[in-house]
Amino acid sequence: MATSAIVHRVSATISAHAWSPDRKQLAVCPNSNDVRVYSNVGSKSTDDWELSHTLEGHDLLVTSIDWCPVTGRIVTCSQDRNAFVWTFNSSTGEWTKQMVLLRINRAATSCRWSPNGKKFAVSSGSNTVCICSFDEVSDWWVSQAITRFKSTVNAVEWHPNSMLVAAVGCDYHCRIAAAWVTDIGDTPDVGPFGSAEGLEFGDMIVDRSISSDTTTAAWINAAAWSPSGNCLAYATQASDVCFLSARGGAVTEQTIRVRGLPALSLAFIDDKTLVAAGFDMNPAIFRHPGDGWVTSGEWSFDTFADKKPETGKAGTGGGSAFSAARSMFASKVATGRAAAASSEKLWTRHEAAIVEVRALTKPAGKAAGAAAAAAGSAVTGSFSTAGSDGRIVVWTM
Amino acid sequence: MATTQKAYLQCVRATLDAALCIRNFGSQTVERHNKPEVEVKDSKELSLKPIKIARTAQERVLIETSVNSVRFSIALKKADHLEHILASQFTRFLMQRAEHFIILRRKAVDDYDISFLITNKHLERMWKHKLIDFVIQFMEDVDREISAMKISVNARSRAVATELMKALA
Repeated sequence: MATSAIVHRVSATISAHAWSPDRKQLAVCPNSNDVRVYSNVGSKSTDDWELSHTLEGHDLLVTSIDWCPVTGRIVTCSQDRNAFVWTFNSSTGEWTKQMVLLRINRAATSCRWSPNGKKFAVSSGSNTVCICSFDEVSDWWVSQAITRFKSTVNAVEWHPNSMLVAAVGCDYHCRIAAAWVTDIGDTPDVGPFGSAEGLEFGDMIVDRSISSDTTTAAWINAAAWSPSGNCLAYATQASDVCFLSARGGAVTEQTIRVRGLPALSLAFIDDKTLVAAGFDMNPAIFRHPGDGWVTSGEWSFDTFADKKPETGKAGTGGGSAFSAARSMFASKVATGRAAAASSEKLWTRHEAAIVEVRALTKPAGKAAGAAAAAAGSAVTGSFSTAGSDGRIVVWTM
Repeated sequence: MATTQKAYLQCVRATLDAALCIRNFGSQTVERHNKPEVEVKDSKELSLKPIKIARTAQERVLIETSVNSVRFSIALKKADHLEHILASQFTRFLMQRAEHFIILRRKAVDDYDISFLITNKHLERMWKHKLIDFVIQFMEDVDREISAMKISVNARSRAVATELMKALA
């Protein structure tokens, strides 16, 4: 599998990023209270990027940004306990913000638009997930809270049917909750998890716990739904990546223990490909062998997206003790002392933890997607990663 | 001797690399605060099990990890009373100047001689591998420094004693 990557050095540090639906703009939080919106981000050179707007309004770190693919609105949430919905006013050319009544009293940790664009979810440190919908009478966004969490909720992700959310957090639980809001005309639907009969808003459909008595138990950092909605993946601080697959109400679980460091963010490229990125500074790709209909076979780790350059290996890869001794001597001569155990420069494209990974769908829509499907088994797909080294890398497989 | 120290430092390095997986995390007990959870210890689910790596009964490190911070404590080798005094004086000297070392804690954890507190803010500003290199380098240097001081104190006392004996003779 060939992977190419374009590295953009955007700021000193990044805490979140989101692409516009047409992928011509990018919203980035440079680890501060503001969100910067860049335009002309299709350009390979970061110098061509234009800072078109700065969204100011939060008073503490912005923890998450999401750009709605349907309405083109941006939602941001922050550790100051607030979230704002930003709407672009094309007549004035400015982003205007709308208030969200979150009613939480701790930091908001992550926010995501529902795929249909009518609602968004905000997870928070006050042990809740708020499902927010627009109240036209009062002209603000109101929220309904899903409670029953016992610690900070780190991430929330919508099922493709916009009726279910997966929430994972520091209470070592992965939960899937009903998030239909009857006030805006939602019809209950639990997708592949059986029947929605008798379920109400906030009810837990699946509640999986990582047993806390094992020595490797740790909180859950991230979750992601497959595009079909049949599979939920979540990543723990103990370097596990778990897959919950559902079919007709039956749920099967698979856990993969990764050799590297834990992942902080997950994204499905398609139903058979998952990207996990985090403290390894290198996105890991997981694959499923079955096709869309056959769920036989298990997920497995495939490869890292970033490959160590061969030139670096050549010195020791030759297998000769002489060349190794010679390179050690050369480095001693160069630095005047014994070489440090770790190299001076990292070979990975990210030089700090990757905080967020996002799947990039083709902006052209159905035609391109159908063409890719017709092309057969060759995996195509791209994703972007934002690191706390302030880089955004766009990967193409 | 040198080889066991290398293995010990290698083990500390690998463990620190795995422990320094920390993220920005708003306090879940105090509104609008952001504090190192390894210090406040308000919620037990946010801290992982501490790891102790010991080379001898005296020489050991303790690595305590939480969601947004890591506390790393070192106990130094103290073979005799003189080394004990030298270690305490030396670490005291460093800890009084903790702000110059950025990650150094002003007070060591109980039973340890010197402690570092590394938070997510430090990892955002500094390279993780360089930070680990610094800590390992520090562990190497502090032992060497104390041995050198011990030798110079002994040499000096021998010289003083010789002079004294000469005067008495």
